[in-house]
Amino acid sequence: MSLNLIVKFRAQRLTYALLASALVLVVPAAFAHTSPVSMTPAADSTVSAPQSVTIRFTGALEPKFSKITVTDASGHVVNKEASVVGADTKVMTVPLPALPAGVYTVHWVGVSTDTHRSQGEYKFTVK
Amino acid sequence: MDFVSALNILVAVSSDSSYALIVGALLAGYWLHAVTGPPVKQVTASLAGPVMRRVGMMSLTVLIVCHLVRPWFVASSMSGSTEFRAALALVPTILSSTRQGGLWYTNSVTLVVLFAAQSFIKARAPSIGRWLEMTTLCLLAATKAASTHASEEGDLSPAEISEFFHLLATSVWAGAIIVSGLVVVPRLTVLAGAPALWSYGGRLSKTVTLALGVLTLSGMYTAWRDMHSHISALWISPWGKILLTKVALVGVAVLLGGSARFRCLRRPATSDRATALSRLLRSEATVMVAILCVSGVLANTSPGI
Repeated sequence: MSLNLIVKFRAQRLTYALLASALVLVVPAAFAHTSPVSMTPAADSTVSAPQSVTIRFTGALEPKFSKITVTDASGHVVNKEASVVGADTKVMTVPLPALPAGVYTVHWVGVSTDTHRSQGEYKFTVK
Repeated sequence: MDFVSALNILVAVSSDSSYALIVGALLAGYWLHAVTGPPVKQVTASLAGPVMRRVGMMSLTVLIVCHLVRPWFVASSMSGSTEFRAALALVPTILSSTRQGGLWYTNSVTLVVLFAAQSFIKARAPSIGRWLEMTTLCLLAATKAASTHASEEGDLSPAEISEFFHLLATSVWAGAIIVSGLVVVPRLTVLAGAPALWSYGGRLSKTVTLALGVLTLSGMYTAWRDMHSHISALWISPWGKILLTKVALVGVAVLLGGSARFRCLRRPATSDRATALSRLLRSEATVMVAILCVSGVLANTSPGI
């Protein structure tokens, strides 16, 4: 290997090492947008009338600002009670009345304890 | 980016910068007291006393203002409302029912104690004042760590402890360099001469090297814990571009700091090297201000993946 190539190779390795070191120095704690990791009933599933909708999130939730609402195909809210965040603050549940067959949409808002807010929706079908 | 998000970033940058400046002024005061030699004692006493006190009090005032407006921004972020009155109406709920509210009350008490320590306790009982300053600054870093994503694994979790040390080390590095590069070193160079500057610079360099060591360890831990989920965002998202900008700036700051250490402080003190050291530190301090600004934007940007 010629001297030029060796110098170039070493310079390249040094550059990568410097970049990696600088990246490690500045790596930020992740900006947390909490999001669902599991839903019951699951998204796009077909189930017997469920007694509740439960969503487990990636991070702890702020109970006062997080919520679940369930609407029917015509957009009417079907849950009579408000959703609650349990002792496990990553889990939020909303009780449901007896639901007739049809397609339902779950709207969720998850606010993590570090103030970041995320929201979404998914559907399930009651047979 | 909407107006409220921009304002939120401005408050975050002001808060982090003023905290770092208080830490920097405290450290600079220690190092100045340690500079020996009768001809320079008057200069260093003046810098360590009135000048550092002024830097500390001005920074603390900014920190307190940022603290007072923070609940509104928390309410806006949690509710998704950028309307002033709507978010303001939620502030009592934030303060009474959320984790951020509890931490805000803790910070309020801590800031009152820090204000008392800086404004009159330090003048009457310097050692008690300094201990109070150090304790309250550590407590502020702890509550900041407890208010971030790192706290989601529980209080005093490894992630939260790592974040605490990361915040402290960042503040030591940024604060010490900015206060030294823009306030202390230019005055020492002119008024006290190279030997005093070398005595001060040696302590600054050792402390910053230690802070960089802590930053490397905590950064490695955070990278191991979090970055795998965001690595794909590094090259394609605005978040990634901001992070790479910060990487470049940190690289420049490390190179400037290394030059100051190896090209000046490791060699005998001369007036030419003193001038060069002053210029290098001023440049590093300017880069550090830019790093703090980019960090504020980065902390309020989602990786988007």
